[in-house]
Amino acid sequence: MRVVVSGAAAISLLTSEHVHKLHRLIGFACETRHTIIFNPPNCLEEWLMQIDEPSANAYRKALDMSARAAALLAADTSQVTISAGVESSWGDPVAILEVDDAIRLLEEPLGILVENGENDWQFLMGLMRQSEKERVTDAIVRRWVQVLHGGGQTLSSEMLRRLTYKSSGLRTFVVFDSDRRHPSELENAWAPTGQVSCTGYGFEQIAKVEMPGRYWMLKRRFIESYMPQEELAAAVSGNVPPDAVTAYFRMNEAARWYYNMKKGFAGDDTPENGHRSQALFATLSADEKAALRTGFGRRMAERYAQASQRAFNWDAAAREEAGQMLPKMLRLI
Amino acid sequence: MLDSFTVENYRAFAKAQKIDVRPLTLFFGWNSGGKSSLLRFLPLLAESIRADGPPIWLGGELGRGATWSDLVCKAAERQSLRFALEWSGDYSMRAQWDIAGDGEGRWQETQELSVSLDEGPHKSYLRDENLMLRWLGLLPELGGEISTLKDVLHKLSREVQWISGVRVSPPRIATFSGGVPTVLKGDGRDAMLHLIAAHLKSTAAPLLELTGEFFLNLGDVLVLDNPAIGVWQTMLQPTNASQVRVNICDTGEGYAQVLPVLVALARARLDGPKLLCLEQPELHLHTRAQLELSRALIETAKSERNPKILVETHSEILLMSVQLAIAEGRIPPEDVRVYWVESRLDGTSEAVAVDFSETGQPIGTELQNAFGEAISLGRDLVLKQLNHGAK
Repeated sequence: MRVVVSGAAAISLLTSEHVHKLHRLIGFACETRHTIIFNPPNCLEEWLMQIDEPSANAYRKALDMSARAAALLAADTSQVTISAGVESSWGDPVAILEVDDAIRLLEEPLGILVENGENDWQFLMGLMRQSEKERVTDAIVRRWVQVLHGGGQTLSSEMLRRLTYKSSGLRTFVVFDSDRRHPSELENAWAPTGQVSCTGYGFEQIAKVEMPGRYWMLKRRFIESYMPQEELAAAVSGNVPPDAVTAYFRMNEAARWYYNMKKGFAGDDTPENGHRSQALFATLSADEKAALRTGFGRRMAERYAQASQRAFNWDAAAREEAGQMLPKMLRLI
Repeated sequence: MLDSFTVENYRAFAKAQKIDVRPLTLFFGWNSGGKSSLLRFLPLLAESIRADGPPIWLGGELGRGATWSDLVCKAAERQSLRFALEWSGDYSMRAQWDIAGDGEGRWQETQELSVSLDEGPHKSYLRDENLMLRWLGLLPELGGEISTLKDVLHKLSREVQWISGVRVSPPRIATFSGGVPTVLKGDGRDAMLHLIAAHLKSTAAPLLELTGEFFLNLGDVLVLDNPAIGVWQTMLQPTNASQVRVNICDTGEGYAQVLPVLVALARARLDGPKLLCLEQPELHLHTRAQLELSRALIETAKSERNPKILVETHSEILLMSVQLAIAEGRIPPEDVRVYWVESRLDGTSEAVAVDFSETGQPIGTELQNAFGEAISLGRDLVLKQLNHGAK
């Protein structure tokens, strides 16, 4: 995060009662956990000249490094402005906080909340570029980032639990399946009515209101809907009809993205939800429909974890979506 | 002027990469990611057009004797190269080529050329569909829009100035027998001759003056000495000590290496090629001199002739100088584009575009880790020093 400390706030910490907070703030810069900028930059010079020389030198160096790193932070990087005598305002991307709230927030690891802490997380890591992976992995090792398993059904209660406290709420990024069955269900005006159920829609409603800019609802139905052909073939080898994988990849993009990867057409064939795919699969032959009748099984997503060392050949749309959404997560680190 | 080029299945780039050519376009990334390949594409094309032989001439300075299979992406296992060029202004057109080649280097030929004028519908020329059509390198022998495209390509071949990352030092003494080619040699060996030619052409010598600005701001005056007829030396003298003149080849590699870059930049502002492709212009320069070089790059990018400069670099100073120039309003953000070039585990690479806000902040997180090692080293050092102090 980018932290800007006003000169007045810094000066207000130069008392024996509060000076430990100043040390803590500069400590974030020393660890390179957050970039700390004092404004004006020389407002601490008098104090630095009074403390022991090795610490003063190290602090100066850390603050110089912080300024250097801050120059390359994305424009929408999550920012905390620490001001004296203000009532905390927990905004995103800019929160204006008094120092105690700020330190609480800065000590809070970023929680990346996913439905499945193993498969979903490896799916996200697989989509990242090497430089992004290295950065996230380093942050996890240092406990600045935590991957949180929310559960497919319990994700919303986990979201609400994190939102109970401002500091953990602001330090949460959530990723979930859209669970949509047709691209038109992604439109703003769409809402499940009557007996129609859509778990992703429920998650989206909370995220949209409480965590704008801090969530990624996948454009496709499931994480499995992103699996490249060769990986899908390897994941389900021998467990599905021989033509299932090729029949799946013969379908057009929209049909593939909103097909029930786990349970196939049989899983979607309920009276209350059956209509939702509209004419997505209308052009399929009887043989293709038969091959895709029962889907690829519930364990297919394990491929993301099992083959995490492989470079998946993601399709261009998947790369593009990841290119738009992953920076929203990375800006919070 | 050329607005963009796109390459697909070229070197490490299996998928299409569209590179916008802004007044200042910078390529950053780790080693062996493909920055040089992208920067060299236009010079390679220019060299091929000048050679007037196969579509892509691989026997020249840029081709370096590569075979066709060296040129196409090894990870993609396809043998055809696709590239496109887009122009606006006097010639508003887009042209796209599909070129097939033989892995053993026996042949290469243009399979399809697709041209559209003024964003209109494109027209395709297929080699297989019209066997009577005679192809010469990149183009079929036809009039109309193909003739226009031919003119545009020839103009492009004269506009592209490549300066290699491996440059030779200027000679201690040069003899000048009159005349210089339009384009500087890639290794910069004739930079001094261009200075002499410009000096002889006009006593006002704006080329020498513009080239010398860099040195002047660092406390030295760039001087051409002419001790005998036809014999020349490039000297530097401290601003306040005119009696101390040092031959530029004795000043250390930094100044010697940057001279061709400065001459190319100055020529772009005057009457030389104005589509510059510069590899590591900051080679051997101290950060103070890198800062001065950044100023020269920015000044050139926004000069009257509207040159366009592509730079492959590892210089954090250069990046931050450009960011500061944006924040100070010295160059508009839309005139700058950075590409972060990174390879993937499957052996392919991609160039990710990064733009900047009006305050010079990157839009996107790609550059955050660009110099991560320097920050990590600083962190480790600071923490060690703090822990030592606590003992």
